Amino acid sequence: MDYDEIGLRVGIEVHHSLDTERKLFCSCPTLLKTKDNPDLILERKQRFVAGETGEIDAAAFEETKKGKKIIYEAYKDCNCLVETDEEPPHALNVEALKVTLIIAELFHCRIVDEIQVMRKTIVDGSLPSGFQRTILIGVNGWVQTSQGEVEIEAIALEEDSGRLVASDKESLTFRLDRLGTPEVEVAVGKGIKSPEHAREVAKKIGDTVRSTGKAIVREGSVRQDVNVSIKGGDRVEIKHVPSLSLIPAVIEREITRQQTIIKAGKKVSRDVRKVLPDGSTEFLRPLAGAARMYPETDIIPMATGPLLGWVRKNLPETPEKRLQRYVKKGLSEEMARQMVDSEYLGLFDRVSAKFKVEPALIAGVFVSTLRDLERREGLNVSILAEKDFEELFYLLKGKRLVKEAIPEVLKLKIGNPEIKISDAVKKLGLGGLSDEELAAIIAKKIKENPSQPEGKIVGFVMKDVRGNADPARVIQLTKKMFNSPRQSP
Amino acid sequence: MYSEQILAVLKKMKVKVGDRVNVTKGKEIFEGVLMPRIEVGDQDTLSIKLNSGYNVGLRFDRSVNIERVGDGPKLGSIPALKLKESKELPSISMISTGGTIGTHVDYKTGGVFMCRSPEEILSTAPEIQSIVNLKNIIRPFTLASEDMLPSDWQKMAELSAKELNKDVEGIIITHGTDVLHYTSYAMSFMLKNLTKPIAIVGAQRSPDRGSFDGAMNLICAAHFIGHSDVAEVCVVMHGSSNDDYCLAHRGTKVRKMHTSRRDAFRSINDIPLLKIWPNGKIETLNSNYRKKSKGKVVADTKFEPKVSLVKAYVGSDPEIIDWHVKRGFKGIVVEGTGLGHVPTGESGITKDPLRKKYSWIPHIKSAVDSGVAVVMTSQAMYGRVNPYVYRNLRLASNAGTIFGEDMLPEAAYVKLGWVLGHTKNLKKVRELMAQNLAGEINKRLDTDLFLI
Repeated sequence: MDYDEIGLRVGIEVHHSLDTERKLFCSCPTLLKTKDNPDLILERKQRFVAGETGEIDAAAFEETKKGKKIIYEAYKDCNCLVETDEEPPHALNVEALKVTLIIAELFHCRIVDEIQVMRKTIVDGSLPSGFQRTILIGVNGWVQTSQGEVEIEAIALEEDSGRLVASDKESLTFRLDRLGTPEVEVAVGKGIKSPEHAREVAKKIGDTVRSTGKAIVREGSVRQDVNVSIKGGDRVEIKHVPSLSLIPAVIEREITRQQTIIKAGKKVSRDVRKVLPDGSTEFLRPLAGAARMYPETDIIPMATGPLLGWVRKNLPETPEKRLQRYVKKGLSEEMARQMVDSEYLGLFDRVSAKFKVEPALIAGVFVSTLRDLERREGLNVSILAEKDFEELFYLLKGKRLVKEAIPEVLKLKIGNPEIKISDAVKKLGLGGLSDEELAAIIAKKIKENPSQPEGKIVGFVMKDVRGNADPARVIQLTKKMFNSPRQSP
Repeated sequence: MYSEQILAVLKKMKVKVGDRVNVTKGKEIFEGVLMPRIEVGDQDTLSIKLNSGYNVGLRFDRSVNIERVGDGPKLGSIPALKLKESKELPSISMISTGGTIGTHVDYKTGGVFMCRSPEEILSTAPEIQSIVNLKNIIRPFTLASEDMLPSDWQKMAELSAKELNKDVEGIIITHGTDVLHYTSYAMSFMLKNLTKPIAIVGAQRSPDRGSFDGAMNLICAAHFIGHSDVAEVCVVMHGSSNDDYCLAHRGTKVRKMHTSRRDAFRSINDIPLLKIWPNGKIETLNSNYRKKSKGKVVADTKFEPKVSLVKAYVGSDPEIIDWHVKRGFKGIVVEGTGLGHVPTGESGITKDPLRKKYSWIPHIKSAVDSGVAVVMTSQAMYGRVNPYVYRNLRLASNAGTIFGEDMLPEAAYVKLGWVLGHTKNLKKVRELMAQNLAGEINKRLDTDLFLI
């Protein structure tokens, strides 16, 4: 197909949650809920000033006008008064701002001299306040692709909203754990030439965001919205394309859909559509006009200048440099490449710097163990948090865990999110003995059996420790102790 | 405000705040509307509302070029509700005094404005018109509540009496929340022979957002005035963090107990009178209240403004009492510790002479001797003060302190001002302070009155 001839215009908006220590406007961690039952259920109603429907989403406005009850599920470990709209926002999270400035810099954006937090009116109930806080950080950037430069129109930092978990005639239920998590929004302007090119651009954006090492790794942490129009058609927005690979298909199908409408002599309506698993779409609601936006009066504007020096000094290494570094660390070329493409790269850097564990072993967990658990066993590995991996490698470093047991341990942890990694190790009877503990057992056996040879002692010890120590380690330590002259009764 | 430098350029380029402009800086052109500069921001930064709706700041320097492209959007107006007469519904009056509940945001410019007319407040809760017949709307002044003065209470009380003596069921007063409870104390003491109710209502969330709480407070207040038999001054605000019901708190027993929550207002040492749902359902929680009756309401607004509220705390300097006496204060409410203590320097086995100079006793005594009324309350707020339990309390009592029972410190302050407005005779003052004038003293504290 000649996309130029049909006048194809494609835009993409990529939303990526950021893995900062705390949320954008409060001190809650950016964790997801760890329990099934919410600690607090709030019942609210929202009301919007009448007579301004022209500026806000008409369909959703009708919903709230009906006076639907809005139920919010809040969790003590990740929600406070700020998310429940009972306290003004705290100061802007500078860590999130710095990451977003880095991303804006990587896309060669003009960073605005002073940022102003805005309130964007949201009428679907997904935010208890009735608005979403959003900040424009940079404009007029570009990204290099195989088909030339593509415009990066704008980069914004915003708070994530609540997630709809149930709805019926009387009420809408939203879960608040993600609410307030920083999210970077990258909006692509002109320059996308084809559906396949759109996929490439979306991937470049995702890679760049991940290269900061501050992208959240879990299900639903990336959202891609695609908008498509062709000559004679009109702008249609397709929300939440779940994967990169689906982007070309979604665009192709939308082109066909618009062409069919045009051929039938009808008018393409400006809609928001939802993606179905096969890449086709269905009507969601009419496209809203420009969102109503006004300044967040509870937060004063902030100059970006004082941060730019730091930002320019802390730009992440390019993927090529990172690859070289990983190979130097002892990863195979293949594994290094996988690690560079992995969402876990930031975590890998942090964990491998912290624990004296073979980097290839750590990388293996991230690029192959997790993938196997996810693909072969269908497990939700996204519930594993940084502290879980830290615990895992800490135990591994202390020889409290053998590497062969890692998949089993992670499996148990994923199935029981409330337990710690060390609990999982214990539950599996894998509580690997420390060197001291093992030495004590060996010493006892030597003492009890003074006339037995080394091999026998190893046998006695193995019988006692069962699966809790690596046989090679038992042999090595027994040998060492057997030959040391220190134990004479 | 913008800097002189920017103002000069704007003047030269004939650009006004609110105009549509093109700002060129370096290679970039920013199109949008020139916004006013807020007080806290850098004065050398231009604030532009871009076409996308975002506001951004551009630091001004000599390379910046600003050009007027056209008129900006007109200041938006919010649709004021037209008052309609519904004779079959109970009539009420409304007094609007300012505060969050009386503001609106202009979405086009982002500015926060006080409502230009009280009718605009109503546009945020139009349901009111189907609950009551809103007869009169008066706006004596527009203030953020923390700027209020006792003279404003007098004005409000006189206005309230005048309205209540018309053919209405009661009044809703809209108010900023910070000192809303002070106004409710003042109205309670100043309005005598109250035969009709007053509901004081505020908002903890601003009306620009979908989560505005003031609408439900207004609706519940309308039910309270029009459809209950209470004839007291009450604060009607959210009863929980949900938008489910409001509580009507007795005017002398209520206090703002949280800086930001919807349900910040709590009854202290008393049970809220009513639970009111926005659908009109009303449940009585505490039947000990004044009922509606016939008769003329009288505003007795005499008030002595030379009254003060002083806190005794660890390391506090008691000379603060002398300062007040010297400045001609006629009454001092002390927010003591626990049961109503102030430091005396008399406790302990070894009497440390150093502690003596922290004792409030001689200062209180000399104040009382010079005719100043000193009233003791507790910073614990829950519970009653007691002049006899400890020796230190007896010392304070002997010095002439009037013990204020279970009155809230701020309520005691307003009451003392009102009492001193009527008599300076300390014996009389003591008598009146001990008398329950408007529900401010609860002689019987039930076991379940704590932290409700």
